[in-house]
Amino acid sequence: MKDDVVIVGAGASGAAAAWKLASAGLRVTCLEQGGWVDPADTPSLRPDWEIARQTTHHPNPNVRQGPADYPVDDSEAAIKPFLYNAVGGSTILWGAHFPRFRPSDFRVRTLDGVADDWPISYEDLAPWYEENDRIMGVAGLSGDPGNPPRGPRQMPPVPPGVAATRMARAFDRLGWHWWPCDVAINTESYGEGRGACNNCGPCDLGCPQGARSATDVSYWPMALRAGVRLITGARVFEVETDAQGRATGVAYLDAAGQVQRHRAAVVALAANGLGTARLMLLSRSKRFPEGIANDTGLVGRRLMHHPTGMVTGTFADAVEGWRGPFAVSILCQEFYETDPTRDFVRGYQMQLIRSDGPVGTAVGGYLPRVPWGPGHHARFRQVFGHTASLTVTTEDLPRDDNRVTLSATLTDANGIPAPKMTYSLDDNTRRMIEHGIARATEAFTEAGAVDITPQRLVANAGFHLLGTACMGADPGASVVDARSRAHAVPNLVILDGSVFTTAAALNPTSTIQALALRAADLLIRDRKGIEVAA
Amino acid sequence: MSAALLLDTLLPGDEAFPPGHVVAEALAAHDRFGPALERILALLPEDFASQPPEARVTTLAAIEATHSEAFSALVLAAYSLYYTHPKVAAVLEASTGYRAGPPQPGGHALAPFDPALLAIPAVRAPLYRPTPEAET
Repeated sequence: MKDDVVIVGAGASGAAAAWKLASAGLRVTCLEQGGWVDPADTPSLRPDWEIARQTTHHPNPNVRQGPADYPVDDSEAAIKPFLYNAVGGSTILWGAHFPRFRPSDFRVRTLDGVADDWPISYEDLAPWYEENDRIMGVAGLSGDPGNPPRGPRQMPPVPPGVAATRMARAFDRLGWHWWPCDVAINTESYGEGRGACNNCGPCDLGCPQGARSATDVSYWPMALRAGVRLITGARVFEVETDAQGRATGVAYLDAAGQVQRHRAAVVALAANGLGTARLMLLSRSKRFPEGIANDTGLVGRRLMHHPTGMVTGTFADAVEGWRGPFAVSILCQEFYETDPTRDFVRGYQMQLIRSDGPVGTAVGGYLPRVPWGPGHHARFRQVFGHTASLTVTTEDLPRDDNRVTLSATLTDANGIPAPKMTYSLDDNTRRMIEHGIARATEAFTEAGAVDITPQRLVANAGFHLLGTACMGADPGASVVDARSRAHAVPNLVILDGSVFTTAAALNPTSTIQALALRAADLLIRDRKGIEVAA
Repeated sequence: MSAALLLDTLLPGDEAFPPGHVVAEALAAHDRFGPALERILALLPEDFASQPPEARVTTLAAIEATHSEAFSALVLAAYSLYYTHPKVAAVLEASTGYRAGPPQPGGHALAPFDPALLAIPAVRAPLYRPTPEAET
């Protein structure tokens, strides 16, 4: 008996949709190439936790080279990939920022004359943002003048710490917006068996408290109870179709390397903006010689990241940045919206990042590597525990030449072509980053930093992989419709960040999950009318 | 011998921090990091051990200039093992207040958020742009 829905990928979006669909009584199977990650096995419980960050738990799959990973050809990409393959997907190693898009993010063509409007609005998506917040659990505070009014979060905000408090006062003196970040981190016990954050720092290594929400501990327990069949170690390499181009199911390699086929009325892809595009391009047929649903040639194109500049301030006194969730405290959206007096369109936000442990400080990241040789220890003492950083997280406008293709030279362990990212920054983005660096420098100066160091592009920041199967009303200019269904394949749904029409200038997971829940609800509503293969 | 001198040149130590050779054995034996050491050792001149300390710095700088990727891999490896070595951890704890060792399960106290911090930004007018939907 074939399933109602087979979902490829058990990460942020796949987990949410699987739970929703199964809860409505649909037969759902989810195929995930990784396995379960036991939060009790986190390197944060070991003395060598910072070595794990540089090796086995590095966010770049090309460095990590885990058994579930596939390589990424980034030879022509200015920004390197960060992702994770496991139940929970990249939420396994994320920092848990959980902002919502602003209403204007859905209307960039109307408001600013660039890129494209989404075929849906913030108001359309708002009910699913709310539902997702309840399940993931959000710490934050109502009243932010930077965003539309909304109800209370599930928990109070994460405390800012020494550096963020100092920066908040500097923003106040400058007359700039700031607000505590919305984060999917428990500041109180919330959810099933999930405790409160104990302020340890390296959320990216996993959270034995279950405080940092990831879908393996939020959605998956509910999804499994609802009846979802989850198959791990399943590397999907093709979406199969019938002669009319309707999806019939998927083919995958199981954990033993044997080819298996799984039939379903509806195929849903949730493998992120890189993996989904790769799979679609791999899925060639007589009807779709350039990849499934790729009549327009847009599959893989319009790859968007959030190009990130960074400014690090060093203070004379210690600010103990090793305390607290590394990525989250406060943000500033003073320069988020388009301002015609600036030399760029759209905008950016600045997020305050805490500092690093001793290895992270020495090898560099927020600051350049501490030089080796005679001056090493003196320099280390100057910076260790004395810094904070502001990211300049910019909106990346879609371009056809920023894209995912299949690598001609690189394959995964099963001989399947790896995805290749071809990516460069445009002048608008560069100008935006320069503006942000100047403003962040101003803020650190106001806060009393004794040394301020800019990075014009953080290369290791490819954690938001967006836009490669874009959503739009026009079948000739987009891959999926407003319901996240492929224009050219009525029973193919795309759930992940691939569908983003534009990227906004903030972390996308909350929006990805809201879109997945919405797509699932619309599928439940419409399922009897969807054209499926015999 | 050369490995110890190489590491002491990278991380000379001072009145508190030990010299880099404290991680020489661990680095050579490390499955991921060991090859990085071997690559640079193979590039050292035969007289490296007999060079004065200043000359060793010059020698390594020259290797870094011509083999930057391999040299960076060694520095990453050396720093990673050095700053997780118990002797170095003890120095960090004594001199900075940092609690070396695993972040979990101890963590740090999570203070409550003080809403008074928001007195100024909370009273600002909205700064998000209206859209056609919001106006209808």
